[in-house]
Amino acid sequence: MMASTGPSSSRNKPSGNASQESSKPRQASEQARSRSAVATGRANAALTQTISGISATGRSISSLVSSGLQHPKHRIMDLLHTFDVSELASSARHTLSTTSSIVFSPLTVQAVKGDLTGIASLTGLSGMAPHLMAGHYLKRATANAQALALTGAIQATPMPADQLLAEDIPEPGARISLFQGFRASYPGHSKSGKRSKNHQRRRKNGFGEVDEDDPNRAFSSLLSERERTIKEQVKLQAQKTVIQSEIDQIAASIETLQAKQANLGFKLSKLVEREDDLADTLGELNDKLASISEKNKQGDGEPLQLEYRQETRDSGTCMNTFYGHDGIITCIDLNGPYGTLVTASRDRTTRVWDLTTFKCLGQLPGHEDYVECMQLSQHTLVTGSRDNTIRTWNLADLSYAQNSRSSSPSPSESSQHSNNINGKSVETDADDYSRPSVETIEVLDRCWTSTLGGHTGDVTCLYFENDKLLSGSNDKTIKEWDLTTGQCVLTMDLLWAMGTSNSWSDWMNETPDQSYVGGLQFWQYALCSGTIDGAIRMWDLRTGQSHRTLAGHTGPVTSLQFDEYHVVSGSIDRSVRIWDLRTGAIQEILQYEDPVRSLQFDSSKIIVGSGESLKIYDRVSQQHSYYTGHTNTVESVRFNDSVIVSGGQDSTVRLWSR
Amino acid sequence: MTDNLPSISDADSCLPDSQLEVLKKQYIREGEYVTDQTRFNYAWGLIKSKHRRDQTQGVLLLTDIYREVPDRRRECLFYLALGHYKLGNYNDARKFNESLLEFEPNNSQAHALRREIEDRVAKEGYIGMAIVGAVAAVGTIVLTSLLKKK
Repeated sequence: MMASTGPSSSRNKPSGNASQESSKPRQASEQARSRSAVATGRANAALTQTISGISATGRSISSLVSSGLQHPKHRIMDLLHTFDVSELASSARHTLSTTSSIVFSPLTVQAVKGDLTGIASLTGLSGMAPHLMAGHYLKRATANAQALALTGAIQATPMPADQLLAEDIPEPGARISLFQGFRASYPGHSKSGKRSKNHQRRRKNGFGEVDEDDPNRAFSSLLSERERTIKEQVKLQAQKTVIQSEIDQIAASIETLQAKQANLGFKLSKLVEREDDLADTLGELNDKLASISEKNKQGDGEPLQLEYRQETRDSGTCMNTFYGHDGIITCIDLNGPYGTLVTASRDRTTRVWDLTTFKCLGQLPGHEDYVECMQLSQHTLVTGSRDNTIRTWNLADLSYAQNSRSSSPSPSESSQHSNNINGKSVETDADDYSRPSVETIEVLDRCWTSTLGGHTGDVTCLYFENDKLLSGSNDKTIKEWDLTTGQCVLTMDLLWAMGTSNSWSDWMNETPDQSYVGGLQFWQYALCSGTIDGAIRMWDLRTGQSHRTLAGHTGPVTSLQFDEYHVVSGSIDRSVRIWDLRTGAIQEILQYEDPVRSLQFDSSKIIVGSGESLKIYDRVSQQHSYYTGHTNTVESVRFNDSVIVSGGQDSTVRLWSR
Repeated sequence: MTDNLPSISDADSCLPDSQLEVLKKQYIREGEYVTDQTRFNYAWGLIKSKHRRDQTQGVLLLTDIYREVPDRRRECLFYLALGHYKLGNYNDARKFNESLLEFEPNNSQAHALRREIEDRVAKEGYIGMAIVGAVAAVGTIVLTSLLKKK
């Protein structure tokens, strides 16, 4: 120890020589103390532990020495390093558990078991050694890992033996052992170098010279040659077996993969089958639907003169005509392409039709005069009539099955039919109403939910959403209603609003039968109304005041609709105006030849009812197209999804496809 | 099993560098789907070499084989014992060897290895004890001299 510290001190380690000198005596004193402790204190266990500790230390030191002897220069440096930095003892003790377990596992075990400080210091001393050794070792190991980066299979540290042994060790299969394989693959390698040289020399000599001078030598050489060939044969056999086993392994894995593939292919075919089945079912259902509607159209119990036209469903074709009303259709609405259609006419009836079967489900009684306006939303229908009332209806439980052949219309209704048809040849006799095939329409009493009264003039237009209803009337007011209570919550005076602007125009006197409020629509608190003076007003429902007026029409506004960006209004002045909602500027004016009676638009098109044909304006392509079919002026148009319905003065309601 | 396992002396015989290179090239060439035989060949070549780092690498490789190929575990026990013995991890070597002897009590190579391990342990122990004794003696001399000075 003294000898080693000499060179270390000469090398001027930063640790400082003085501290080294002092720590050495400390450790020496500790050692002395430990030995005395051993002598006085514990018995066998301590003694054996000491001895084992010392032997462990000795072993480590001797292994250092022996390995040092193997690689002199390298190892001596290591040795010196280990004894050099002695104050690392404490840190080494901390790192004992980790680093020393890597290389010197017996030491860790015994260091833990040893309960004498002296032994601990001793083992600490040698513990440093493994610590530093391990450091070096780790460096080399990582270098190895880098060297074999291609394979990437090397860890930095090997696993401890106990963990490995804990794993299951099964019975080996009857196969070529690894060593046999090694020898077979590299027959020259399994022998040492010296021996192989002899072997080669012998071989060289053996082959060429069969006929030798000395018969004995020839014989022995032949024998050895024979042995060699036999050995080679055996090795070849071994090699063959090895390769065969590899091939078998690969074949097995190929089999499993093929089985997997077959399985997945089977699953795929099953899914395709199911897909085909579903497609068939869908086709069947479609056919059934079509056939049912066909059947119903051709069946009896229909109103007379129902001509079912076998039209193909191109756009612009009239798919169906609903006959039955006896007067000008005033307004219509529908709640879906295959839902319910409600039509009202000046024959004082309101009929409900089913759009899948095209049959009339019944009529809604109650209003004492004809219905001027209506709105159907889902199953709620609100109608405004010339009898100054607004009625709400619930059409939820209507179905064709309930349309049984009930009693013929009551006499009062039939008299109403006969009285109020404008300018048409009518059968005034109530009995004549029952034509050869009796048209029996169910009276749907149960649909009525409530009546809202308050207007003092005809209700000419209305709009409702959720529980709020706005109605415009010929009493020159617009009223807001709460549908849950049935109360009017706000009344807006149009006269006052109109009086502030100078829009009293001539035509107001010329067209007395025009509605004061031609169209209205609201959204939350914003109301937009089109009135007889041709002005479109924006109202704030919170204040009840009109805050903006869009002027432009030169005739009474008959219909109006707005969305987020535009207001579209139609008027008797034969024009449809598209306004920008934010700025109030006119974006477009569509000119027609006849007064515009009704319109509806969405993002792609505007459908205008004016004259005898339905006018479609495609907003995207800016093209106009016409749907002809009505024999008189179109009064009202409505569309929903893929279906357009229009009612005209010819008392028919027609269904068009888009 | 005697023919299946190498002798201890065989473990000490070193392969020439060129042959080791061949084994290494074969190992690298097989890439991802390297066979167990190739791995073993290379590991065995490494263990046989004189350089400590090769031996460690060989042991690591064998440990991999041990973990991954359950069929070959019993053979690997022997090679791992041999490898650790050459490295100087006598405890590990002993453990592996004992495990092998549990499975095959009649294995001559395993017995030979056990004897070798014990011999080496004892030898190192004696050397160590001698050194420690010398160190202790020197230490006491130094201590007494210092105390005397004080």
